Amino acid sequence: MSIISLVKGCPLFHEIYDHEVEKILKNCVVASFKKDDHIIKQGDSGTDICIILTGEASIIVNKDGERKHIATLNSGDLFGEMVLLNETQRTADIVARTNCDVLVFGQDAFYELYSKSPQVFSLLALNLSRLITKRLKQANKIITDLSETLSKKAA
Amino acid sequence: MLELVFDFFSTYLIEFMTGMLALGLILRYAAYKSSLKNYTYFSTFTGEIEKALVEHQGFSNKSENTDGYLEQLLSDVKDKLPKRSIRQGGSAAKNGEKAKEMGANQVVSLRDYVSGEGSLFQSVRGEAISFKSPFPPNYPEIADRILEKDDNYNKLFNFLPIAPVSRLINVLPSLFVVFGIFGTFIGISMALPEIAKMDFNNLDTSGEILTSFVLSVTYAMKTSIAGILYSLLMTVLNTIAPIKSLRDKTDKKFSNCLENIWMAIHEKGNEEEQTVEYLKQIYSQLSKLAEGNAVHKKNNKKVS
Repeated sequence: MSIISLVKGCPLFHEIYDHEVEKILKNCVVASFKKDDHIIKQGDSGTDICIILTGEASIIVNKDGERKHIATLNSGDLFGEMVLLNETQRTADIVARTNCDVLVFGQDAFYELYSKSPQVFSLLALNLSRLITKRLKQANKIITDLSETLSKKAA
Repeated sequence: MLELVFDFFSTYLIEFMTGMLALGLILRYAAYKSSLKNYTYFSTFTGEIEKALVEHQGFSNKSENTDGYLEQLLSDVKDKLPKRSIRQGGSAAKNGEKAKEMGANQVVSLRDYVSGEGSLFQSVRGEAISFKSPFPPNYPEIADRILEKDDNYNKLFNFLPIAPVSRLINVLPSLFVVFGIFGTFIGISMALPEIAKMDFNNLDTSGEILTSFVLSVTYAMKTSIAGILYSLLMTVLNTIAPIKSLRDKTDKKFSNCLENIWMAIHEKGNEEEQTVEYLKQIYSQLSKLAEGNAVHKKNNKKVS
């Protein structure tokens, strides 16, 4: 099995050639987590970006002692990408719902590309912006729906 | 060019054949060892899958939640398999530290993951669609597809494809015989011109020519003997420890395991059990018919 087939479909590597993806990922590690293990803890600081290879994980936000399930991550989904924008403090818990294998690569591997392979670096940055824009759109939709619900309730 | 080849083989054919034998033996040993290791690995894999199938008999909606069921089976099996390619030494220690730091159960390099269990498991997951099919899929074909992607199963020393190596090892005995015959002809072709140089009227001066003739004929014989001996050795080894049949056994075992998974997902017994079930149904139908006939006959008698 090739490295490429593992990360096939991951939006971060969209439009990047296979051999370039292999170069980026060649020094990465794969961490295995058991069910209910914390992959990332809210408030911790870290510089790793993760891609789920197998299994499922939940994004949970702790606020005022309350744990809120935000979304479920499946195979191929990416998390921790905010460290690329210098947001090194984790903003949510990522908890394994099943046994999970997670591909982990440090932000250094990303920044090294700036001098070594600027084209790939810019494509990664573009993909990251696309990803964040997509999430922002989803967040906007949720906010709009919520405000509509609230105004209906108020009326 | 032909002259050069002829010169080479007329001098070094036996050494060339010995080199080929040594290479053949090394490749054979490595290929057999690798096939045996894979056989053990897949035997454990199938055995553990069978156990997991029994343990998860109560899993609900297997045919609808095939991915979940497969995931469950594979995660049960994962820790019980022999490790395949985890590097020892510095990187293992470094990965151990990383695992502690991340709170993970285990950390391996991506290369080890790709060449280890991860690869096989990913390939099995990739075939989930075949398991979802309500009709029995072609298990040997799925097994082939999965095993084709497994570098441990297909490559020797991580780069040499094992299937062509195995085929080459199988034809080596015939090649040795061919080289033996080739050497015989070279020897004879070297000897015959010597005879032509002989002066039959003055045999005393032809001593050297006769010696050279005999040496060439000896060379011809020696290459044949070496060819036959090497061929015999390889044939005996191929018979005692066949690589292909070991790999075929592994393929079959794995294919049967996939069949069992499909049957567990669709809650069907194997063909024998299904036949017994059908026969029982036919028997009960026939018994009912026979009973009906007997009642009918009784009623007819009463009427008459």
